[in-house]
Order: sequence, then structure tokens, then C-alpha cells
Amino acid sequence: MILKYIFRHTNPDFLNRDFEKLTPKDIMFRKAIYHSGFKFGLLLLSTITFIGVFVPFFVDMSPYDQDISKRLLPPVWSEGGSWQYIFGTDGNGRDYLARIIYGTRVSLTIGIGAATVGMLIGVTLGVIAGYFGGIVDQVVSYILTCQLALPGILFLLTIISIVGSSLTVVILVIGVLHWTLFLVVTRAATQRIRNLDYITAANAIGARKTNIIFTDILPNVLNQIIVIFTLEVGVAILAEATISFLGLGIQPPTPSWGVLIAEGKEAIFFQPWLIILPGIALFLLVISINMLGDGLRDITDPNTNIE
Amino acid sequence: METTLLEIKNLNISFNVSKNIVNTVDNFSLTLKEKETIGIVGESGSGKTISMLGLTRLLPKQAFVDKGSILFKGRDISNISNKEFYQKISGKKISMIFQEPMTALNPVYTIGRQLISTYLFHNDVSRNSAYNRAIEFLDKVQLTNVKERMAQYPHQLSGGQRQRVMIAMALINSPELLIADEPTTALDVTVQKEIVGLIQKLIENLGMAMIFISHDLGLVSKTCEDIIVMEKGLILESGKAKDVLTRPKENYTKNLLKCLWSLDVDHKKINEYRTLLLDVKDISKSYQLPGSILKPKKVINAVRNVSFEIFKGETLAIVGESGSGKSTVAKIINGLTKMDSGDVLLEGKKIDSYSPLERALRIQPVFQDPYSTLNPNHTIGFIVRRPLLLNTSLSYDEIETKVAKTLDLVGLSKNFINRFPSQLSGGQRQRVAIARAIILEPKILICDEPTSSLDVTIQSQILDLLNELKARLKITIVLISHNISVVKFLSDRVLVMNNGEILESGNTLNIINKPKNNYTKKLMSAIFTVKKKV
Repeated sequence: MILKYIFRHTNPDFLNRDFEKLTPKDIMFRKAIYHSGFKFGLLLLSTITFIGVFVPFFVDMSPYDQDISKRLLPPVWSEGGSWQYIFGTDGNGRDYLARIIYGTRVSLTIGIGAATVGMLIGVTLGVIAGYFGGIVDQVVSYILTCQLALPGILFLLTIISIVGSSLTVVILVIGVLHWTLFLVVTRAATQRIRNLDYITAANAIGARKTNIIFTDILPNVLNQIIVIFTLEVGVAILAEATISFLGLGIQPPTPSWGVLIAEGKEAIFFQPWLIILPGIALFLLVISINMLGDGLRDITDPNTNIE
Repeated sequence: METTLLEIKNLNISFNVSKNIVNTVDNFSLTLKEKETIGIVGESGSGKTISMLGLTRLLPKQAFVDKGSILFKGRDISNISNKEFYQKISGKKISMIFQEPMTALNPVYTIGRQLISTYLFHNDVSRNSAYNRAIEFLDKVQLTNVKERMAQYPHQLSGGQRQRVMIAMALINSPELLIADEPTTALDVTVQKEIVGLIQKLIENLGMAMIFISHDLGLVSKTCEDIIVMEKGLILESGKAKDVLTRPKENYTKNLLKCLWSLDVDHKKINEYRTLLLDVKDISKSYQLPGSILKPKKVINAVRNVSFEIFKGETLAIVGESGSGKSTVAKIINGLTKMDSGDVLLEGKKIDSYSPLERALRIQPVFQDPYSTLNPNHTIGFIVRRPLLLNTSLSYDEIETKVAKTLDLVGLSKNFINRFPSQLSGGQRQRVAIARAIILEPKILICDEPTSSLDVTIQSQILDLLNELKARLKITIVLISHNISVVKFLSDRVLVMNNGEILESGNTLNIINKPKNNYTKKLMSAIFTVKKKV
């Protein structure tokens, strides 16, 4: 709706059904406007991001202030809840809503950061292996096999116990553990594209290998990369939650959703909201990212229908 | 008295495309007597296959039969239940042969098992007699070593053999009507001829009626008694094959025929070409297939000691079937594939000694498949502009003028600049590919089957375009093709290749009219031409 409104005022012709006059940008906007999954994902993700990034600036709340007299207060909708603590309080008497909102920042940073690290490693290796083939491909495949054989959690434990835990370390370690999917997908796509006529044509007009990789191959694997990226953002957020749950990730009192769930596990039978609320937040964030990714793939793929 | 076998009256088939109903077949009617053969001719999208799928209830999900009646042996079969239809009609009375022999057979079952189960589905007999029947029919389609074939999987057979198996499978239940949907299009020319001959013979022996669908008017006119010409879902004209060919009523049919004739016209005088442009000396190229523990490495000699010369301004055709090495030769002289031995001299200099950019200014390719020749992520403008961006230092304005001029030259308007390849038809894409190749004004254009993926009328447009470019730009063309008619239309000299070797070479007309080599003779006799009646 909003998109449609904005676009109608910048370019009144876009709703014309005369597709031939549309520029590539118009077509992309048109697809975006008619893609309900994309719109839903975008809306949800921007809402979550907005709440996580900006709300703490305007609302006076603290995820760290403890009030032992107000331990384990239930949320506002259950019996005994109050509007002062909408999501109740945790075992140390901290405002649970504030902790979840601050946790959004950690989860988003780790999700996007780790997926970017994974993407850089995986796509680089995948394109190189797929395009050059032969011995290069064999070496990369060997690295892949080693990575797949590596016990992830054990690797993680080792690194964190050596380097110590911090946000950067967690991002890097999760990223380094999650590039295999990028590699497999880009490698297969590149191998397929490499043999197509337009690559031969690019060779024939004298294009260099880097030029071919950046203008011909990468744009064509982009759709798959976007989908994998959003998938991996979700996986990375969940991975952070897992390792924080194990006590290896983000260290308390910094609120991350994984830490919250880990802290709430002792009270699972009597104060279930301590686990359910961050769980719902996690679910919403991951699903919004996945829907956005599916939408982006459809929109950026020039072969999908304009409608 | 011959009785009417099939009568289709006013069949309408519609597609449900994103909430819009699109009528794809409009008022299709047909009457087929017993033991009669009808050919349906039309280009892709003309509705020829869809109307037959409507008859056999194999329509894709979005399509449905709007109205119309289908009478099979006097009985209306358009309203009977699916269950009854599949048990009593489909596969038993009416069977179908499809175009693509690679995908029509199930790759995980043996030929024998597929044949036997097809027979057992409709006949209550013992497995043993089904086995014997399968063998009998494999024999009928002239396969050798029938018993061993029964235990083989589809991937162990060649395309022609697979199509024979498909025919056996279609005939094993002795249907009364056979629908052959482009049964030979995916096959090599010489194999095509054998398969068509086989189908004709079997039809005659078994006393079946046949509906033969093809885009090839020449082929249909040789195979069928009656012809139906379709365009855009409509029957344009129908009648006896002879009448349609000699006295076509509709412009569209005349056009189709003209495409056949225009390829049949007398060739212009051969000019004397003097300047040597490209000298190919004794080149060879082999590929190694990776072996395994059980299989030794296999070496395929794609090109063996091939030598020829190309003179400035001439058009040289390299003719051969798939696997003859003609495309490899094209890639080698384009400098895109390294040869094992030999030399390619372009204007007296070795092709490998040119830098990619220098080479690009002299020699450019055009490929076969209009769908993979353009990068789907770039606009037409960028695709045509890119060679200039890479190779020249022209200003923005100069580049844009040149792009517009080149697009105009290949018959595309300026509006195409912002479009993506997916918005273009096959013929338009091929024009863009040609524009990309000629924008650098190369001396040699290598066209690898430039028209074989296109419809007949589009084919002749592209050929006309190439002919025009040849005259206007004085460009030298190397044409790679398996289609003798195309070669005849465009080229001055012909090389015939088979198994990586040049069998024969010479003046186009001499080769076509007086082939010396046996293989060339076979190749030439495989073309179905329609002689123009004056």
C-alpha cells in the first residue's frame, strides 16, 4: 500500500499495463508491489528493526536495572501483571520487555554479520571452483569435505575457549561455520552458467575472466545467493541462540534472545513466558527474513512474470 | 467403404493464465477415416500439439477443453469418465509418440519392463506371452539383438533407438489410431529419414490411422495424404496434401511454402574469391572422458587433421550431423578452444598470438540456442553495447549512436534497449545476438546453427538478414549447419564433416547435386524438399 502510494507519486505511469514501455527499475517495483510475501516480510522486518534500534532512544527503559523485590512478575495479560512491566520481569527483577528489545540488536547484528561472513567465504570459493573447474575445483571440494566433517560445536568450543567470547568472535565463528551452503549452491550454478552460450560470447568479445565473473556469472547466481543469505541469517540467529543457551555465546548480562531462553529454562514450568516470549520474537524475525528473501529472489529474477 | 474412425467437431481449448481465460485452440475440426493419415502443420504455439493433447486428455493443468465433441468410431468420448477413458481408449485404441526420446522413457526401468507393463496394463495375459509380444514388436521396429535390448536401460540406447522403442511401445497394444507428435525433430537428419520410413511401413502393415504433427511441411507432405495447416489456434486450411502444396489458398501457407522454395532457388554465380583470410592447417582436437576403476579412460577424437581455407567475402558452410566435430572446429577457429595440434592462421598470424581484444575485432560467433545466447540479467542495450565498452574508447554518445544503428541494421527498433531477453521472442533474441556479433565490424562471422532452434518463417527471416548483412558489410561467414536447405541458400562452398574428418569439400551446388562420397549422398537424400510447381 505504502509502496504503491509512493510510487504513484514518483512515476504515475507505472500502473500502465503497457509493459514494453517500462524500464527495468519500473518492472522491479511493479513486481515488488504485487508480491504479498515480500511486502509482509519487509513490513515485519522493518518493524522489528525499528523497535530494536530506535525504541530504546525514545522510551526510558533499561535491560540491566535489577529490582529484587519485583522478581518474576508475570506479563500484563496474566493474573498479577501490571502495565509497568508489560512482559513481566525475569529472575533478577529486570524488565523483560526491555531485555527482549535490546536483544533484537544483538540477534540482528549476529544474524546479518555471520551470514555476510559465510557468504563472502562461500560465494568466493564457489564461483572460483565452478568457473575454473579442474584442479581448483578439486581443492575447493576437498576443503568443503573437511568443513562438513568438522564437528561444529566442538570447533566453536575450542575457538571460544582460546580467544574468549565477544560479539565479534561469535559473528566470525558462526560465519566460518556456515558457508557450505553458499559454496554448494554457487558452485553448481556457476558450473551450469559457465557452459552457456553467453559466456562463450563474452569470451569472444574479449572480456577478461574477472569481467565475466562480475558481469555474467554473479548477477545470475544472485537470486540463489539471496535466498541462501536469508536462510543463513535465520540459521545464524538460531545458532547464536543455541550457543548462548549453552553459555558460550553472548555473556550475560548482555541480553540476547538465546541468553534469555537459557536463563528462562529453569523456570519453564512456572514462568513459561520467559521462554515463550523470546521464542516468538525469534520466530517472527526468522520468518520475516525468509519471506523477504523469497520475495527478493522473485523480484530480482528477470525471468519471472511481471504480474 | 471406409468408415470414419475419428471425428472432432469444433474443439475449443482454453488456458487459464493468471485469472484470464486464453483461447488457444479455436474450433478445431477433423475427420479421419480408417487407415488414413493426416498431417497437422504449424509453428510452435499454433496449437497443433495442444489440440491432440485435448483428444488424449493429457492437457497441462491450466488448460481445459471448453467445448466440442470427439467421436471415436461413432461414439462420443468427450464425456466418458476419466477411468473408462484411460482403461478403454487411451493407450489401447489411441496411442501417442512424443518428440523427445530422451525424456519419454523412464530412465530407471529396463526397456523390456516398460514394454511388458504397457502391454499387461491393457491385456489380461501371462507375463511370458507379454514378453514374447514385446520381443516381437522390438523386432518390428527393426532393432538388432532384441533379447539383449530387453534388459537394457534407456541411457544405453541412442536417440534413434530410443525413438524406435517408443514406437514399439505405442504400437504394442495394436491401437487403431497413432498420434505422432514431431517424432523425428530431435533426431539427426539421416536417422530422421529411417524413422519416418519405419513409421510409414508399420502403419501400412498394421492397418492403422495416423495423425502426424510436425512443423516441417516437406516432411508432412511426404508422409501424409491429408494436411491441416494451423496458425494461432485456428485451422487455416485443410485438404489433400497435393492440393495444399500446389494451390495454397492462405497467405500463411504460401509463406510456409515460400520458405521451402526460397531455399530451393538456383544459386547465384560463384564469385572468384582471391584473398586468403583464414588458413586452417591440419588441426586436431580430442577430449578425454574420465575413466573409473572398471572403465579405462576413453579418448574421443572430436576433430582429426582438418585443413581448409577461407577466402575474403565468401560463405563457407560446414555440414555434418551432431557429433561430427563441426562445432568444435567452429570454436577452434574462433580461438575459444585450444587445439591439440595444427595451426589456425588469421590474416597470416596465428590465432593464439592475438590478444582476446584483437581477436574480438576480427572474428565473432553467433550461436544456436536463442535462449542461452543472451545473459538474462542484462538489458538488450547493455548486451549490444558491451563489446564497444570493452574494445573501444568511444564516447557515450558515439556508443549510443552505434548501438542504435546496429539494432536498426538487424531490424530491431530502439525501444528494445531497455528490455530484457525474457521479453523477446526467439527470432528477436537471435537478432540481438547477431547485433552483438557485428557491432565490432568483424571480418568473419561464425554462425553455429543460427536458425535450427527457430520456427520456419522466422528461420527464413534470419537467413534473409544474414544474406543482407553479407552483402552490405562484405562480411565473411562460416556457417555451421546440419540443414542442407539453409546451406544451399547461404553458402558458396561446403565442407562435409563426419566423425571429426572432412569427407568432401567444394562448390555448394556441386556437392548437393553430385555428391561423391557415400555419406554425403545419404545426407543429401535425407532432405525432404518440395519441388516448386510452375
